[in-house]
Amino acid sequence: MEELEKLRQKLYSIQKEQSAQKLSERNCIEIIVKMLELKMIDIIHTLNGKEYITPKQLELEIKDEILRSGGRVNITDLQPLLNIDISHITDCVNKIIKKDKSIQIYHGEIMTTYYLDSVVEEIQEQLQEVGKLHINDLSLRFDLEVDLLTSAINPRLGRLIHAVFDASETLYTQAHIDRHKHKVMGLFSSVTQPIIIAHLVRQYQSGDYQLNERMAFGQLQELIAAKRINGIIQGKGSSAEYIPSIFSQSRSKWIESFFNQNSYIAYESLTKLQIHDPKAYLKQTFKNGVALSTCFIDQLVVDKVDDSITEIIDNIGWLDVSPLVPPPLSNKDMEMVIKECPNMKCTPEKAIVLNEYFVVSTTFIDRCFTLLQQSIQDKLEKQQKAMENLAVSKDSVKDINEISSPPTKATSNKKGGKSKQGAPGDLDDSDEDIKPTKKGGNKKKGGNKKKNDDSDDDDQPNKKGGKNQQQQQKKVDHLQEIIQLLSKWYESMEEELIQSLSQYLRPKVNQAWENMVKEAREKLENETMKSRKQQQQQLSTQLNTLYANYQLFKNGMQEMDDEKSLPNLTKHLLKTVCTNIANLLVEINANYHMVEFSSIETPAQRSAVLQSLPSQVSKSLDKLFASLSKSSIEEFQDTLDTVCTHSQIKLKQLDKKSERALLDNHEKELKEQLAHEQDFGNQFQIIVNLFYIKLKNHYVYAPPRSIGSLVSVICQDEETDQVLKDQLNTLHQEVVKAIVNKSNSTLEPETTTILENIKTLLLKQ
Amino acid sequence: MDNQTKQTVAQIPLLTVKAGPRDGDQWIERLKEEYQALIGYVEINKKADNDWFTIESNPMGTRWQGKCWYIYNFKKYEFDLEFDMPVTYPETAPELAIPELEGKTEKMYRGGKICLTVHFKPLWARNVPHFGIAHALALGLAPWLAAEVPHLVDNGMIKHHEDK
Repeated sequence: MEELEKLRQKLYSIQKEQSAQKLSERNCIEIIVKMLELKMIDIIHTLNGKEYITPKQLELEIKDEILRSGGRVNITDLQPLLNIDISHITDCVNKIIKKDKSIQIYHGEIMTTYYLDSVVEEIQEQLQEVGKLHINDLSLRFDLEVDLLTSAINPRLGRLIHAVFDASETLYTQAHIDRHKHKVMGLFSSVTQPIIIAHLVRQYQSGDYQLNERMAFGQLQELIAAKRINGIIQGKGSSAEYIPSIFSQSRSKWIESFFNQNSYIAYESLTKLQIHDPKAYLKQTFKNGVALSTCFIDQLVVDKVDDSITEIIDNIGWLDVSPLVPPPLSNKDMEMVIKECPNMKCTPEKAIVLNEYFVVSTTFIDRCFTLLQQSIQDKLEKQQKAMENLAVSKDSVKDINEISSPPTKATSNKKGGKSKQGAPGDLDDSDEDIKPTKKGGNKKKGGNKKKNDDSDDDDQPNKKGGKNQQQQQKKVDHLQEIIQLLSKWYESMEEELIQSLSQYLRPKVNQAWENMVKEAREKLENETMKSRKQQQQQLSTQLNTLYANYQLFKNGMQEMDDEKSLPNLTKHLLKTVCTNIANLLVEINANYHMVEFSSIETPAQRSAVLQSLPSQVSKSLDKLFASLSKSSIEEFQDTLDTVCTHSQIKLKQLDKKSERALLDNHEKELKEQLAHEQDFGNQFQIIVNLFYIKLKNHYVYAPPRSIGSLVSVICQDEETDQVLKDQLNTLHQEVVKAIVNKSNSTLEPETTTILENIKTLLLKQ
Repeated sequence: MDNQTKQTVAQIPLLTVKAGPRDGDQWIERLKEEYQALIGYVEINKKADNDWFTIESNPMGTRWQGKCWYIYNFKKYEFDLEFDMPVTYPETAPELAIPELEGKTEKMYRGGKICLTVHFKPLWARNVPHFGIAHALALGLAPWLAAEVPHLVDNGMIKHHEDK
């Protein structure tokens, strides 16, 4: 029973006990969710959902992990360790980084300062062993980016790492650098010639020296600055050059001595001595030098040249600069020297430079020019004179070759030129040149050209043919002549100077020549024009007189009414007066159309002239000539009219009054002739004519053979005195007899008395 | 019967003495075993934070009374529990009663005796004398409460004492 009571007590007491509080997992999750909803708590799920973690715990855990992994851990590596979503981790890490400056994220990796410190320490340890480390090797070894590593190393330099960080690339220990410096020192101390630093360093990059280019350069500069090494660095970058003092000293010594001795130095020789900008170098070294294009010269040279220039300006002369300057100077240099001269600078009008090294006084040139001008003048005058001579004795020049070429002037020109001194080529040429311009629209170009071609072949083979020919020919060139004249005048003058002086003077002279020629030509042309006009006038008056005569004779002939003697008379008239008229017409036309001719007496010459006349005129003239050989005076009259209209010539019709005057004229003339005439035949003819005129008031132009008909006409007339008639008849018979009987050249005394009587009778009236 | 109940029941010590209240000393022995079984069950419940009843008996162990409760919607509904040891015990299972629920549910006999499932009786019969009061509570009253209380609360038949 007690046992039972005990059990009852036990049950009671057990029931009184507090029961263990227990929540089911589901409930717990629900509670937590609820609490999260209510924002009572802030927790993070683990990925498997079995655990929750508060942010703070997460932070701690991350920190622990960082510590555990030695200060460097990848964020993605944290995720499996913490079993939490990566985004929470990153958030948390960012939070940590904000709070803790010693932690940083680099490419998804968390790095702490102490990790970097340890890295740098490790580097330092290794560096002390090897002396030189390259950042790339380190980057590979620590699996860190170069720039991160650089930024880690840089602030720790001198603190954790005792080295020189060269160009953020290579780490050197001070010992290494010192070693390097001594190598550089040794190397460059041994250099005695200029040398490109980069080349030298590259040469010693591998092998025992192990030089670093940049460092070597810097150390070299240091050494030079510290005067440990004597020399200078010239240039920049890869072309920088080290010039040891010993070299530059000896070089400048050499340059100086050369310059002082020779008063010049060529840039070339400096370039050979490795001075890259010799001009600048020399300017710097020699303050009172003058830089030329290939040389550098002393001011003394310039002064010397200047003195000489002054002299030639004063003396009115010329100067060859080349012997005054050092021999290696090029022409261009000499020109520069001359330009440098104060004389040329201040008074450039006083002297000019020719052919780069001749200085010629302007006054001298003027003098030359004046001389040349004079010679031109002389030449021209001579030519003109020759021309005038020719004009006077125009007929004397009958060169068959010249028929088709300008008649007088060209020939005279040529003569003048040839008669002058020995510059025939040019003179000829100038003549050629004048021709085309003078002749202008002449139709004789063919012949002219031919001549030009000839002369080209002979005298001017260098003259270009083709299109230039015409143009060139228009220009008168006196170069050769100038050269000749100058060399004659100034025998001491250098040939080059003559050449260039001639070149210089050439345009001027040519201009002057052209002007003068032009003037002369104008003058000449005026004269020719005048003379031609005169000639024309003359010809036309001649024509008119002839025509008047012709009319007079025609009238007389027609009046005569003698069927028997008419054809004879007509023929005579056509052969004499009419032929003269026709020839005169050809001449007038030729003159008018400016056809050059010398004579038209033979039919061949005439037809040559006719060919060059306008076709209409030449045709009608042909007809006119044809009519001459016929026996009709009317036909001649008609063709004459057409010719005159074609040639635009107005023929004066003979009126009564002028006919009368003309007749009187003839009468007077005849009387005069009679007075001086010795031949009795002629005398008789004149007498008959005079009688006829007196009787009929007509002048019958009759050939001696037809005189008889005239006598018979006179005798038929009633008004005539019977005695006179008889006398005339007898006289006629006697004269005819005397002429027929050729052996007897004198009349019988009887007849002569009759003749004398009639003669005096006629002359009295 | 759910797994948890099965597990729990399996943990309750089984009884050996087959004696009823009228069997004198034999009953005492039986009563001792009953107490031990109850203690074990309570301990199990306490441990699992599943304490759902208190119980005590008269000195002879013929009449038992106590309390039982059920938590539904975060509210604890508590009822008085009482039953008598039948004379034919352990052949017949004790008739557990909740008098205050009488007339509120169909699953109840007159006098507030709960109406157990059809499985209970054969189960009990098969396990005589090994099942005791603890088993009856675990296999009878607990499932009944779990089934009926939510129903009653939902129908408004019972109300939590705080709501009254």
